[in-house]
Amino acid sequence: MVAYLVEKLRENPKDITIGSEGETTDKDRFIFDIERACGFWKHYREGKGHHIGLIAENSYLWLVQCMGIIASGNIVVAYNYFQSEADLKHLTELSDTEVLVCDGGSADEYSGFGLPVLEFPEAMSEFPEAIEENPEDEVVAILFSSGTGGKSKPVPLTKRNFSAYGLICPKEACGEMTLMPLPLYHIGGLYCYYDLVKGNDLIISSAKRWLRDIERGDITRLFVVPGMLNQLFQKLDSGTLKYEKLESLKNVVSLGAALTEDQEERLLSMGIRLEVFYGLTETTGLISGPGGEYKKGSSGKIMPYVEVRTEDGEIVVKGPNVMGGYYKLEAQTEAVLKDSWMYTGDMGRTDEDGYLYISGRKKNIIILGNGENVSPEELEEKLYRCPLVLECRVYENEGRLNADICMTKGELSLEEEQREIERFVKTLNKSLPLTHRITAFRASREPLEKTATGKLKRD
Amino acid sequence: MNREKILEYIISSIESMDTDEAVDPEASLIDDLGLESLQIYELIAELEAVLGIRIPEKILMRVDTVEDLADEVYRLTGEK
Repeated sequence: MVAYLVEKLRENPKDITIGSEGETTDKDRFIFDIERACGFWKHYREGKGHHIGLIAENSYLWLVQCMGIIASGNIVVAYNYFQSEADLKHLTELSDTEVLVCDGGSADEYSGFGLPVLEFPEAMSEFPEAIEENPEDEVVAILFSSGTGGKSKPVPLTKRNFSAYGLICPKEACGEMTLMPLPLYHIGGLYCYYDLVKGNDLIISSAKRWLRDIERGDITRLFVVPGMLNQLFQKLDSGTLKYEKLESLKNVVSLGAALTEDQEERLLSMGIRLEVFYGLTETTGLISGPGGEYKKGSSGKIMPYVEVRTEDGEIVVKGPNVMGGYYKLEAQTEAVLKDSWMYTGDMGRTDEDGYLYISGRKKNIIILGNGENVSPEELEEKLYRCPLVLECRVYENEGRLNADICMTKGELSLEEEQREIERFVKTLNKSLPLTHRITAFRASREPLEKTATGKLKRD
Repeated sequence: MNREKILEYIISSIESMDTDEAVDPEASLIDDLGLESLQIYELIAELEAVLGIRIPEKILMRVDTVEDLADEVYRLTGEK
């Protein structure tokens, strides 16, 4: 996988650059740094296939380490750093992570995990080593997915999984200056690998930096989740971001959640070539999206390597991009993967031109405007840790998470119990990523509405 | 920049955003002031540019109120 990237970078006569946090590196230096990271990880432990946890904010060195770990014949386990210590520790155990590598200055934060922790500068050898080609069916990365519901699950992805799109993408347009603000630990963020394979320059950005980075004025291709577009339009409408800064922008790739009609219309009215990518971590991303003429409301044309059908309205896919199964989670794998067909949990249809249209979710997953999947059951489980909570239901309300709570009848008054619940929710929220926080709740002694079969009713 | 100046800067930045609430330093950024996560990230990016320091996104795990944010940012400036 990395050998292929290096081959494509060297083949391309263009001097491709990778930028991050205001600095720029040329492709020769990028390759050299990957070889140095490769050199470190090849000798860190005996043998190959070690699970190396990568936990840091988006940066040039994140990408170098990811590529270097894979190039060394080991497996990168990509973590969302914005989680509680308890959740992270659980995931390191679930994924058999053996060592963590993190930003400079962050090692102390992970000292309680019982794992060796290295910072980026320590995980680079003085001596670069040749990048090895990974065998097709070798796992190269483990990403985490909430999938069709429930807790995060480790998704092992092979070289073959990444090659499915990687082998065809160089035929697409290249020469772009791509801005990638999406988290690299997420499959959407890792699409930047394909942009480099295609011969695009890359700026690695973040939710924090992207509006500053776009003011460079030379970005031609931008990856977004729909929530970011509201922020962009607000800045344009208020005049804090000038339209001139976006004159170079020709292509926007939206993923993670559905665009609203207003967002779609506004981008198209700006003369921007819009692409909507659709896929899951379990399908190495791209089921549909890149290339082809944009059709309003669609998630793009189905990729040539994917078979798509629907079963009771649910989108089911098969192809070399589909995972072989969750890591050491047989029951969860059997629930979604049947005879190599991946049941996506999304409802939709295809048209006669091979375009895909998503109409909703089958399972109880809330998709936020920033593309994040939130499992209401997972949050409810955390709420149930409060002894005063008898029943609870987490739901989405105008892009935010709210909760309805039925309290037990204890010795405290109603008001005292409501204050206790408020304190509990405030404390719980501090352990959650910003976007997963419960921003409002109603607590009473009224039982929550149920379905005919006695299950909690959800909209 | 001392802690009070940082707090003033944060309050004035939030007031320039389209929030419905007047900014009380003890107000919760999300629950009380209704800020979106992307707005909070943008605020951190501004503070980085003004103060010339790097503010890890993870500080937001320890931040609830406007004052919490000022305290964490001030700590990162290393001023005594």
